[in-house]
Amino acid sequence: MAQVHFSSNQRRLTGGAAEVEVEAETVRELLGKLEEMFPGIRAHLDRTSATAVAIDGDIIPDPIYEPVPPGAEVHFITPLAGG
Amino acid sequence: MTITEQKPSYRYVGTRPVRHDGLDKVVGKARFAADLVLPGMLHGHILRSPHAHARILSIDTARAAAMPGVRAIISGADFPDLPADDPERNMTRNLMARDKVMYEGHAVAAVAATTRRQAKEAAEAIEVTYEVLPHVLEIADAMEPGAPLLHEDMITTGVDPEPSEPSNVSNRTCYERGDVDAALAAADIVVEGEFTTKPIHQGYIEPHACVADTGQDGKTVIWCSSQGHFRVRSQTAAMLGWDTSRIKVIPAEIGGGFGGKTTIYLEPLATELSARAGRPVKLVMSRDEVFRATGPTPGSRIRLKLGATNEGRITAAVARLDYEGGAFPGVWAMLGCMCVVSPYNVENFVLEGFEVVVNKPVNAAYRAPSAPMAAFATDTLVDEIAQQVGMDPIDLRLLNCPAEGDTAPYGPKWPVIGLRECLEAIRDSEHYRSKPAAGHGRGLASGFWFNIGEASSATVNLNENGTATVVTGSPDIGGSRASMALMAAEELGIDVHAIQPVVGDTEVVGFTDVTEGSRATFATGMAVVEACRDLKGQLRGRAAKMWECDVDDVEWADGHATHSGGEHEPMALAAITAEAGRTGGPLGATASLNARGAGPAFSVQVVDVSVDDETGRVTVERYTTAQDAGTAIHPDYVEGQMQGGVVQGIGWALNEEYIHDTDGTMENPGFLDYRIPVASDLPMIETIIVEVPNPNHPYGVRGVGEVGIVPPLPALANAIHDATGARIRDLPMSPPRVLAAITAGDGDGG
Repeated sequence: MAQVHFSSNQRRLTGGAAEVEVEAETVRELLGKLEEMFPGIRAHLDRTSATAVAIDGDIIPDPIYEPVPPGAEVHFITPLAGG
Repeated sequence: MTITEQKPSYRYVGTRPVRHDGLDKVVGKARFAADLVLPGMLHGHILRSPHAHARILSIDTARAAAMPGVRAIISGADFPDLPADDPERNMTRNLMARDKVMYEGHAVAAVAATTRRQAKEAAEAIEVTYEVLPHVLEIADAMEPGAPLLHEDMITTGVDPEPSEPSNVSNRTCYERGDVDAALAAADIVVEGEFTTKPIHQGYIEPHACVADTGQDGKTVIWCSSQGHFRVRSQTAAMLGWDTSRIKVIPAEIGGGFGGKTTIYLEPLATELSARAGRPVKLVMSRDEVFRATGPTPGSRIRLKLGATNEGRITAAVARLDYEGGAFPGVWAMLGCMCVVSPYNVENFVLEGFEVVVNKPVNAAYRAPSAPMAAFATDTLVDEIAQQVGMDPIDLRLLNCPAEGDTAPYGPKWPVIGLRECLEAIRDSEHYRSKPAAGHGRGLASGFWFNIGEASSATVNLNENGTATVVTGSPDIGGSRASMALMAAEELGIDVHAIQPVVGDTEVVGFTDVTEGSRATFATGMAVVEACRDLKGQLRGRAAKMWECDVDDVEWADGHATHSGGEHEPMALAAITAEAGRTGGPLGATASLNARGAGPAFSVQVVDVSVDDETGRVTVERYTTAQDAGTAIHPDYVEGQMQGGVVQGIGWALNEEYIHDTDGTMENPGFLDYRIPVASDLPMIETIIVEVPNPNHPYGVRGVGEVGIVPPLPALANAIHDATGARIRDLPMSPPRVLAAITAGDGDGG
C-alpha cells in the first residue's frame, strides 16, 4: 500500500484527509483509484499543475507510467523547472 | 578550497583542465547566433507596444509593405490561435499580441527587409490603432477589487469556494503542517515583517538572436542562442502549428542565460517571416528590447512571521507570499512557498502563496526562481531571532538544520543533503573566524534550491586513433562541455583532451530537455556515463575477440583491456579502436534517459560590508560562499557558478530594479540606468566547495548552477544591519534607500 499525502489545497478534494493508503502498481492506477475515492481530484491536480509526483522523495515530472513500490510515500506537486 | 566528506579517488574527475571551447571564446572565434550571415539573408525588426495595456483595434501594414526592401510583414493574426487549454497558449500570445497588448514592449508586428534600417523604418510605418485600457503595475493594486483586469476569464484556482468573478490572481497555493496558532502562542519570541522586491532581469550579456531559413520544402533551419534547442523546436512548432519534424534547430554558442533563455521570443517570428519572404531572416534584439520584452524575475511582497524558543528553536512560521508573474500567470508563488522555510526544520507552519498578473513583461526563470525573495524574508527574520536569543547565527541554523529523513516543507522526505556541512564549512572558515574590520558589518544567510533531472541523451563515438567524440543535447552555458569530457575520460581511461565534446543539433542527438534546474552536469552527465559504460562493454568484447578468449575473462581498467588470467598484456583503448574495422566495425554508444534523484542544493554565505553614512553606498568588502556540489567534476566551473550566483545576488540586493513610470513605461532599459555589478565593484568571491556526494549519480554530482543566488539578499541585509543598525526590508538596498533607513533609524534594537 502506498501512502499518498495531500497538500492543504488538495485536501479540499479529499474531505480534509491529509493522507490515504492506496494499493496501486503505477501512478496511472493510483490516480484512477484516487479519482474513485475523491471524484474530481484528477482534474484538480491538472488544473493546479500538480502533475508531478514525489515517490519516496524522488520528484518525477511526468510520472503516469511510473511504478509505485509497496509502502512508497507519494506527494503530488508542481513539475519543477528552474533557471 | 574544497571540503570533501567522502569521495573515491578519481584520475580525471575533480581536475581543472583547460575547457575545450575556451580558446575560441577567448580569441573571439566562437560563433554566436548574431554572427551568422547567410546568402540573401534579410533582417527583421519587431514593432512593440507603446502602451502597458490596450486593445488592438486595427493593424494597417499597407504603407509599410510598399517601402523599399520590405519582403514580409506579420502580426498576431498570422499565427494559429491556440485553444484556451493549450499549455503553450500564453507563450504564443506573449511572442505576438492578439487582441490586446499586455505590457509596454509587447510585440505587435514584425517586418523582414533587406537591411536592418529598412526593416526598422517599415515597422515604424505600420499603423496600429489602439484603445488604451487602464493598466496595473503593482501587486497590491492588482489584487484590489475593481482593479483593471488583464484576463477577463481568469478565475483564481486553489480557493474554496471557487470565485465566480475573474481577478488578477491566477492561483492560490498553501502548505500547512501542525498547529501554527498554538505554536505561536507558546513561542518565547515572535518576529515578523513585510518584505518587497522588484522585478529584475537576468542580465545576460548576449541579447536574444536567431536566424531562420525556411526552404521551399516547407522545412526550416534555425540557428539560435538558447538554453535548450529541443524546446526551441517544440515551442516554435506550437506557435506555427507545425509538426516538429519540419524544424531543425542548431544551437549557437550562448552568451549567458541564467534561466532567461529557457523560453523563446524570436524563433517563430523569424521562421514565419522567412517562409513568407523565401529568404533567411535574422532577428537580433537590442538591449532595450531585452529589458522591455523578455523575462525578468518576479517582483514580490512577502509577509512572514516566525516563532521561536529562547533556546533558538524555530517552532512556527506563517508566510503570505505574493509574486507578480508579469502579464501571464506563472508558478512563482508556489515555488516560493516550497522554498521559504526549507533550510529549517519547522514543525508548524502555514505557507500561502498567490500568483498575480500585472502589466509588465512576462516573467521567466532566473537562477533558483522565487527562492531568493523568500530567503530574503526568512533569513532576515532568522537573524533577528539569533540576536534576540543571543546565539551565533550559525549555531542557530545548525540547531534548526534539516537532515536526511526529515520531512521537507513541501512534503517529501529529504534525501542526502549537505546543509549542515555548508554551515560548518563557513563556521570553520578563516573569514568567519576573523572579526570584521572596524566599521564593517557582517551578515550570514543560507539558501535552498531543488535541482532537477529530466531527459537527456548522449552519443559517444570512438575514433580509430583512440580519441572520442561526446555528443550531447545540452547547450554549454557554464562549462558543461568540459564536465562531460571529464566524466567520459574517467570512464574510458583516456586523456580528457583526447575527447571532443560537441553540442549536437536536434537532428544529430536524442531528445534533451532544456538546461534548467542545474541539471546539465547531473542528468546529461549521467547519459554520458551510461553511454561510456556501454562502450566499455563493447571494448571488452573486441579485446576478447582479438585475444580469442571469453569476454568474461576481460576487464576494463585505466583505459586498458586486461585479461583476468594474466595471459595477455593489457591492451590500450587505441589498440582496440585501430582494429575496430576487423573486429566488428565502428565503436559507438548512445544513451537516453530520464535522470532521477537530483540532489537538492544548499549554500551558506557570509559577507562583510562597509556603508558610507553620508551617501548610503554599500561596499562589499569580503564575501565567502560555501556550497554543496556533491562532487565537483571540474572545480573551476563549480567555483564559477558559485561566484556568478553570488555576484548576481549582490546586484539584486543592492542596485537592480525595473523602474516604470505611471504610464507603465520602463524608464531604465539599459545598463547605464539598470546597474549590474562589474568587477571593480567587487572583492574576489571566496569559495568553499563542499562535497556531500549525491548517491543517485555515478560520480555523486548535484547541480550547482542556481542556489548561489539565494543567500546574498538576506546576507547583505543582515550585514547592513550589523554595520548601521538599520533593518531594510525592501530591495534594492540602493544608496538612497540605505541612507533613508540610516537617517530614520530603522533598527530593531537588535
